[in-house]
Amino acid sequence: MSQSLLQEFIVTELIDIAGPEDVSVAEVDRLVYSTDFFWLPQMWLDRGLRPPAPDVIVHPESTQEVARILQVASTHRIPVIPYGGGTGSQGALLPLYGGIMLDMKKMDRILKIDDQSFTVTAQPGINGQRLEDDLNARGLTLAHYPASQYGATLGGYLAARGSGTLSTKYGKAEDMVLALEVVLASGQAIRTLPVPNHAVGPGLLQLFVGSEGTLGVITEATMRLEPIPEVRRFQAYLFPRLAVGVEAGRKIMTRRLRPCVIRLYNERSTGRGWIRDVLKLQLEGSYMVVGVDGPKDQVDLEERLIRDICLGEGGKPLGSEVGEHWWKHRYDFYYPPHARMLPKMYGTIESTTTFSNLLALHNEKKRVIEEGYAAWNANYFAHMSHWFPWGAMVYDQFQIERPPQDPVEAIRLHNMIWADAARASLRVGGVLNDHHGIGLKLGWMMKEQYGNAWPVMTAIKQVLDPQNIMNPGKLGFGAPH
Amino acid sequence: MFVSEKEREETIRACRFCPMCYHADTVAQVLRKETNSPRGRALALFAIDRGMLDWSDEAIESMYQYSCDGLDQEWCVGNYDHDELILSAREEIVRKGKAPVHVRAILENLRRAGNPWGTPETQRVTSDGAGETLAFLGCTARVHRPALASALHRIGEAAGEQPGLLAQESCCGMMAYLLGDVELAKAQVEAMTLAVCRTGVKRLVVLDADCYRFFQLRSRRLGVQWPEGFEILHSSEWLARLVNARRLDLQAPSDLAGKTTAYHDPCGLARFTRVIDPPRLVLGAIAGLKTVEFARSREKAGCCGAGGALLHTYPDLAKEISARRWQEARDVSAEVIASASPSCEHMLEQSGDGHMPVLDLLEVVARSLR
Repeated sequence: MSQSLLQEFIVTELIDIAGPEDVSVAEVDRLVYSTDFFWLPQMWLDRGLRPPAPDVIVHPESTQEVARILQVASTHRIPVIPYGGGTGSQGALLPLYGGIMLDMKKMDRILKIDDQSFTVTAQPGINGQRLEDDLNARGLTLAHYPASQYGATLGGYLAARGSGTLSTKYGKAEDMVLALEVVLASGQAIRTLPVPNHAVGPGLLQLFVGSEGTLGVITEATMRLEPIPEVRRFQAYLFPRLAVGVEAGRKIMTRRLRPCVIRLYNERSTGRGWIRDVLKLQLEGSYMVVGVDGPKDQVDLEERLIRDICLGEGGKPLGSEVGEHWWKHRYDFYYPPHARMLPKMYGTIESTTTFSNLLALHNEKKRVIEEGYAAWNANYFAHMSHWFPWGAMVYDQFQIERPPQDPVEAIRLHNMIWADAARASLRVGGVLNDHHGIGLKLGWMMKEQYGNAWPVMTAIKQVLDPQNIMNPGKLGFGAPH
Repeated sequence: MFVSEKEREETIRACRFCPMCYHADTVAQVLRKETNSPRGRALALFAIDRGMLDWSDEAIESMYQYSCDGLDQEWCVGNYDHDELILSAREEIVRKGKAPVHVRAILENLRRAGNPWGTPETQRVTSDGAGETLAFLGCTARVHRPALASALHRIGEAAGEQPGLLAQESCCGMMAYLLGDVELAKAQVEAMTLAVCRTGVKRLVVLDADCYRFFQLRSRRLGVQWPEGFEILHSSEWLARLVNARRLDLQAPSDLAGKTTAYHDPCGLARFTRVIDPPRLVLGAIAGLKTVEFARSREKAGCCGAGGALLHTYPDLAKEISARRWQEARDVSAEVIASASPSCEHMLEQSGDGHMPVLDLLEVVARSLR
């Protein structure tokens, strides 16, 4: 879109659909909607530069409005970027080609809670914490605790294939979702099957989970719920080295115990990172916190079995107080001034792999960051969280205290670090990303990730969004046609 | 106003990209637009400072569409004072002569009539405090809830400590402070402090949580000198003292006995001055009164809608916020809402359906005197 008579007609159409209060072309709104939680647009703004802005922001209040807005966008070939809480760190919300920013937060109603089946059906714009509070009031929980929970939305959880602190037991967003309503680029609203487990062909549901707004707009989601556990307890252990802690974690998982969380910090993160700075614990080695929840008898048993494994591997018990302290302060890391912030350059380059590759993944990325960018004094921090029956996620980060002041130089350095880290993950059997998504940041690496399968992905995109108006420039799908 | 340049800069840098109190921000949860979130407001201020944005009507509106209720800071692990950041923006807007017309009209009312509505007030018949205690009613009680003065009188009689009233009470300056007019706020608080001190009393009992907050936390920083040892109490603290001294014998009247009463914490008390337990102590001392807590209570209590002067500047938004508080009251099966700030009570009454009474603690106590 550009400033033109045509634009005014299109805005009029949008106002006709959503109402004047829910359509804005104001400069202040356009600036605020030009960034998300990605370091790069934040740095760009910090240097006094304006990232690409949407032409218009629309706040739909129903599926019907979303459908009509997409029809307008499709008719005029205008990009549409669905916006939830704006907490994504991969630049998936950047309006690279202008267009319509579709802020979904006014679609925030809980439509149904099925107490029998333990499911909730809600609109995608509901705030994560509000959803959790409402469920808790009924003795239920989504059990999805991402650090972004206070700002993120349900739709964002799903669009980015997000994960929460207790995913080791309760799964990622893609494990929790049962069904979706999605509006396609054409304006057609469709529903996936009512349940996710079936033998009715391939899983259409999962096609839209993690699609980051490139294949359609999620307008309704049915999610699995959990009972609020009778007890939830945390124990902390200190291992002499990361490798020893990894082996303890592997044994816990392959013995098929079901902790809700295992978080194992590498030596740097234990001694010089958040554990020291936020939790005020002065430890040398590898800090692990393990949480178990459920009926008390089950928790007693699992806690004992986990303790046996940890002690058997040489772990030193730090007690429950230290573990509970971690749980209570688990989000403190993400608040300023504790959070990684400008003027530093930083990024979370996490990846997932099998147990047999786990240490290699960690060590290779540590090498790539610390040796490859020694000139910039790059630091590498890591912990392992989100454990699976077959492997785990390495949540690793790089940080440079004094990046280049020149924004262009800063972007190039930033992107090369990302590329090197991503390729290191791929080399040792990992994936580009575990739970933050791809967005703009990693879109250009998608061909390397998928290899021969990439044309299949682009073919799917072509069928569902032939004009490429849905969040163009993300997931590696390129510019609008 | 009360943030240094350094604090302001640090707060903008902390808030401009941070989503960690989004869920707590009263206005963000109602309007559900990024520009009306903590992050959006701070980013707009950053861009204005850097010349990337102008003080457009929309940018100005986003600064006034904020509840200044302390909830954002309450949730902030870094303890950044988002409220004062926005109030400093309002100050800049007023200083530049860019305040919206409806804000200027309220300021004019404050100057002309001494209250935000511009309602003419006659001189009070009651003489200035002859004893040691003087009560400060506040604009809302004077204009909209005059019965509170009678309730206060009945309690004073029963307790043997009758607070006097100023013959010519006017706005304490809180409203001008909230709207960004520092000079007016300073002039008003100076005038009222002088009037109070001239009576020679030893303590001031303040009815409105906002006035109380302003006298307690802001008056000295605006240069006001209170006499050595002068005591400023909120009415709930004064009542708690009387209860503790066993000077009040309280029994819920028939229309309140057995009814579920939910206490709404005004932000001026629970968050800004941490007066949390005294009102509960007083309600707990009333025999036959059944109390319940809001799900969001004490220092995390939800806003009534009047925060940040929204009742005056954006009444429809204020009513939407207030409607949420009403829903929270219904969620805990409340039958009566009690509070300890006429501003909150007036706000809640504006958006209520009339089926659930909204009472000030003073009214509950006065009606419970045996």
